[in-house]
Amino acid sequence: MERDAERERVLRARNDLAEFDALYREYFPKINSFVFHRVPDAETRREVVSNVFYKAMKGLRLFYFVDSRRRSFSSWLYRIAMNEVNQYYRNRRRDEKLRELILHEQFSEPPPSNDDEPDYNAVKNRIRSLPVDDQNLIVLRFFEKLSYRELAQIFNKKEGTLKVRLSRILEKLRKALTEEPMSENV
Amino acid sequence: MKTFEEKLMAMETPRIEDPDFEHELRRNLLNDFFEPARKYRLKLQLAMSAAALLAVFSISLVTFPRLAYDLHALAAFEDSYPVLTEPVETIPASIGGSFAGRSPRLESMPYTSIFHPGLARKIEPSLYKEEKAYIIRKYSSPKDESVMIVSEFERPGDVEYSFASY
Repeated sequence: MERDAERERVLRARNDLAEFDALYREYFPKINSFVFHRVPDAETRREVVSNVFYKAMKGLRLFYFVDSRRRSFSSWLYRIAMNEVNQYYRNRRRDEKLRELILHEQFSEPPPSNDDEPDYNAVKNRIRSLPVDDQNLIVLRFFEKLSYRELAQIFNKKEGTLKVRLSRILEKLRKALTEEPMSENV
Repeated sequence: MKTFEEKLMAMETPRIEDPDFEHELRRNLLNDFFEPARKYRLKLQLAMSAAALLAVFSISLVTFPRLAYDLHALAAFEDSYPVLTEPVETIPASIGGSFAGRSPRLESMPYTSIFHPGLARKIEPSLYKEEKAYIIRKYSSPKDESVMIVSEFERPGDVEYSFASY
């Protein structure tokens, strides 16, 4: 019932300004925050967030007829955002050499941390050595505090599978946080 | 004692606020998706696209009449072409009339039409005009060879004969 109400609400947002406003106010901070944790600068964040909302507006009907049966609107938006972030990193590899220099400046000295009290900046820097999808998983789970149910909808995987995957990633991350600072992060 | 996962869940994360960007993006989205002219423009584009497609289709049908056959065969998953008229017609009165009183069988003799489905895949019947009519009669003798007579009808009553034997 709740899912049906959400579907109707989303479809109305195509033409109803008040409904669009309500959805925008509800979801902009979430998407903006996720992208903020995933990209290095404000300009890129704005570009990615804009792309997410434009794609969402164009795809509202698609969500209503197809995706809404499998995932919530929030998960659908996060999935678009995740794809946009991944696209950004794919594009960035093209001029990797130039970027490497900049990133080296930014991340070569992560703040000290230990696994007793993990620090946001240390975790954010350390996860950059992980595959992009694993980075997304860490950010959504521990920065955005999403439940495993929501993560399962976003990644299109079973909750159990994600828990196993996350525990492996956390083991790597825990070790990385207690080791010497990385010489290079990409 | 807390696990590493629990510690990460309890970790403080900074929140970003960017009201200027939030308002700017909202304004852009409103301009692009809620502007009344945009809806009419979209409808006009759709209508023009549909009209253009229809015009191209109509012109194609006029230029290539076989397209209709092909489309029908494709839509109906049929190998054979549709029959436009009866595959067998009765001999026209102009020809049959010349046999009036001489051969009652010929006056109402059926013959194969150019619209026969067997021909429809090979020729376009509407491009052909009937020029002449012929009748072939075969005579067999128990002792001698058979004789076939080809009769050409140019006008009713005007009959020319030619012979073929085998």
